[in-house]
Amino acid sequence: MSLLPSEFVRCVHLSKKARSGDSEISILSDVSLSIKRGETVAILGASGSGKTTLLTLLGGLDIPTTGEIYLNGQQLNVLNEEQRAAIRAQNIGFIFQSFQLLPTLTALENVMLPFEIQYISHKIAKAEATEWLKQVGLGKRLHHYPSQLSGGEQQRVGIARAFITRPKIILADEMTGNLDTHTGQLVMDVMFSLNQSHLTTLVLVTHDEHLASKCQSRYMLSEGILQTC
Amino acid sequence: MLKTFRLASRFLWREWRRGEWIIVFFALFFAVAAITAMHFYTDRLMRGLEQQSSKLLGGDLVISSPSMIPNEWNEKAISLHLHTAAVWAFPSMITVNNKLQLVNIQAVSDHFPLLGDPTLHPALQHVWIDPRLLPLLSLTIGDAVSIGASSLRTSNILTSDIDTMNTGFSIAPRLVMRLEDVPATRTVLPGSRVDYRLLIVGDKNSLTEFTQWLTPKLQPGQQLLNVRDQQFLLRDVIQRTESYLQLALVICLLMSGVAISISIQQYLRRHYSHVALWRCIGANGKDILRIFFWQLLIIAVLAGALGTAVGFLVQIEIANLFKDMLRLPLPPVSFAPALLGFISSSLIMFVFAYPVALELPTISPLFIWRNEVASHTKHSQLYFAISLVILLIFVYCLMGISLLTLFLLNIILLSIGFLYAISLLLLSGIRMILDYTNGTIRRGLSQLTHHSESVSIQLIGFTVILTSLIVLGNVRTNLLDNWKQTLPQNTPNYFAFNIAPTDLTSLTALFQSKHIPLQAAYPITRGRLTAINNLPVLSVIPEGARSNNAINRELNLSWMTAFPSDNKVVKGRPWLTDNKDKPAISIEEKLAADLQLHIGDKLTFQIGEATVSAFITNIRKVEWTSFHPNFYIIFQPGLLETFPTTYLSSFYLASNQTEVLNELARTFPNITVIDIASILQEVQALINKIGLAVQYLFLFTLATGILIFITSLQASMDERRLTYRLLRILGASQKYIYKSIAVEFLSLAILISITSYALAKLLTTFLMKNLF
Repeated sequence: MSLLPSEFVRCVHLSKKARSGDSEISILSDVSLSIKRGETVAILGASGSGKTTLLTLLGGLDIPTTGEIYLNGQQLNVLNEEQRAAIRAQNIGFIFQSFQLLPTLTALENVMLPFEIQYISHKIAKAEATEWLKQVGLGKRLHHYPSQLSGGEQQRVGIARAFITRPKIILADEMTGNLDTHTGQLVMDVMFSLNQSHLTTLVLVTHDEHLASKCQSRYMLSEGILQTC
Repeated sequence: MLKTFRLASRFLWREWRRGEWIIVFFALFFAVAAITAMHFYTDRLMRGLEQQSSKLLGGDLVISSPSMIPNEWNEKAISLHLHTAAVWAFPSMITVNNKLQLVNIQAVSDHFPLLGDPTLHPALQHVWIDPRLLPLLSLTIGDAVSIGASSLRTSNILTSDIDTMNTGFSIAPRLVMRLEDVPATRTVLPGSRVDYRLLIVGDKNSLTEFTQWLTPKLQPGQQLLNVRDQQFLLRDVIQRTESYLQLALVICLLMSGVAISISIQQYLRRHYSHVALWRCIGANGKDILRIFFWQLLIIAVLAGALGTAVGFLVQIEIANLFKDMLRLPLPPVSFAPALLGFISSSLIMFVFAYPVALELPTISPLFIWRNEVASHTKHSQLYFAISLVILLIFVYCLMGISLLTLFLLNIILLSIGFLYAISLLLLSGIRMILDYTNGTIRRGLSQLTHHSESVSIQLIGFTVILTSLIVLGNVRTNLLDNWKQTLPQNTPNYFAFNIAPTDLTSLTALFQSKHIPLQAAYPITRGRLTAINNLPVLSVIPEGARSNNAINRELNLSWMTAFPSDNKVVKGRPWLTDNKDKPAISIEEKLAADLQLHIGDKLTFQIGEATVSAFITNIRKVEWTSFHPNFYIIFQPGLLETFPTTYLSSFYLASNQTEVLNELARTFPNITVIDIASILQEVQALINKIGLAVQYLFLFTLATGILIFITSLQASMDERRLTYRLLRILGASQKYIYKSIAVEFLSLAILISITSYALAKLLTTFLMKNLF
């Protein structure tokens, strides 16, 4: 099975089961999904509905129990962890609910990290990271440690880190979940504006209807079953 | 590779400035500093002690020969860049003011002494004398003494400061003169009884080469002595000290390994989420491992360098601190401990920390969401096993640790499995009683069960540290006690022999009148071993035993009903008093082994014109270092009584009682008194010094252990901090928190103490039996 020219992500009959003691529980059942290049997609659902699991499958962080996932023409579920890591490095940017900034690194160094693990020269990494931090409005906070930044600022650092490699897709997991409404709104604005200017595909996992309304496509995940809203 | 190195060092620097790695670094730094300081110091101390012992012996190697030592031997030694000096020791009469006196002359060449101040020998035509000669001959320094055909001037008194060399026990007051003056005295003639000695000092390799060259050339009666020689008195003490130092070093290594293990575990546990993030953004598993490899190596090198430097400074301090107490000149430091510091630093890091790092690539990026802890892979366990073997080989080969110490190390390592089982058992016990507890006790105990994995690690780690320290302490106490018993304060320092049976009663009366206890008198008859099982000795004994002194000279044969207290029958049975038909003798263990003699063998002795045969009934272990009269051969009473007999006894004289000796010489001119006071004093002083060194070494290791203990505890506090912070937020009082912590750590401490004590008790018994 191949992707249509406009298609960037395709999931076919995905299911994910997990073992809990002696029993097996189904987290995702028969999920099929198609995402176009540059499309913004929101996946809504209550806690425990399987949103994050779907996101980790889309990001190649985990493999499905059954079904196939294609990303930019490559079938992820047949690759091993190292091959999937290489694809993540090239194509995917992650934004996390709890920011996941390394506490021992400054804002600048946190943003440089994805470049550094690809052995891109320090000079370029630094220049790019500075530029991205400026774009998210943190040009004056380059050398602050996460503990010295507010929640909104930390998430903006997270956004800059996700965009620095110019990924083709951004996967955001409840990115405003740890922020108040106002700050969450500001952070979302930053992200959508970057997304538009760089034509990045965006998959947003959220339970915030308002946030989801800003996306072109919306899906609802309920007890592991995906439905279009 | 360079790219990963650069990245690793950058990451390391970033973490370092935020306080990460500091505990790992300091644990390693302390370990290396302690190991190198101890190694630097003990290396110097051991070489110092050996030098001191060599000084007593007169050289690193000494050839003792009843005939002139071939010049070729001396030339060979010199060609190997060894330094030599010749000494002839022989008895002779001297005359002063018409008084005659037998003295033991020590004629020395101009290079004597090889160790110590080289100017400490008499000038030509001068002699240095035993202070006892002054009252005996009404002599004053500066007077001339006649030795044979020469007259030489006395110029100095032999005191322990300038006369430390031991050429056997002096059978008379001693006199030191120059070898060049001997021919003119005409006291040494062909056939004279002279102990010819060649003293040799130099570097180890040359000495080994020389020993190998010389050994096959040695004739019967010729001996090659060195500090470690079986015959030499201090050998045992030195070997035990070395074993103790090695034990202390190994324990230090082990303690630091535990500290690194604990602190690296804590560090990596904090970093699981970091690694998961790296995985998320696409980092390669191999790269992650490489980065950690470089980080560990950089830390190891830095801690190694700094630790070695500090170790060097600390040993200078230790040396200064104990200089006055030890009064032992220490040789300069050698390079080896520095190298060992670096190697041990890297090895400790890679044996104890790298296996933990090996788990990192297995951390799933999903850890960010699920907090799944990586389980130990077979790969890392195999790595740990292999690297541990490498460490043991390193310890064995480079640090010169004995196999037995290694064995002990293995026991401790093996006991880790046993301790793990105990910790699981104890934790499940705590879980069971948890429901019956309340308040802070419940909080503290449940903290233990919540952190069961780290509690197990701490229990194992701290038990290993504490056990090691208790073992080291126990061994030290036992060693010191043993040494004290070896040479008690009133050990006889004079031997009297040639006592005629008729003089025995009056001699005893003289000593009684002076309130000086006279030890048991042993009868002696001199005889030569001529046949074993009716065959000539030389045709029966092994090739290697031909140079054994016991078959080349007359032996002192004694007889007695009960053996001296320091003799122990190791084979056969003690005398049976009613056994008159089969004459019995007892033989010393080493002589029996050398000559391959067994229980039931018949030995024949030539005593004067007669021969006496007897059967070996038992084999005895003899404490030659006890300074008590001892015999290779002891007969059952009833066999030798008809032969001409003299008696041998010993006694202790304090330094202010030596006047008795002159009275003894006047009343019993035929009795020969052997003065071992000075050598006994030297040996006692040396043993005291070693004892002190062992004491301080223990204290140093203890301090290191406590430091490592605190460092590791600090690391383990991290996990607890989060919980207690949360409890504070929930409204727990400061007192509640402190009480909970106290309950938690107190119960852990009690568990550790009980387990350590039991384990240490077992190990000490094993060690004292097998190693010391």
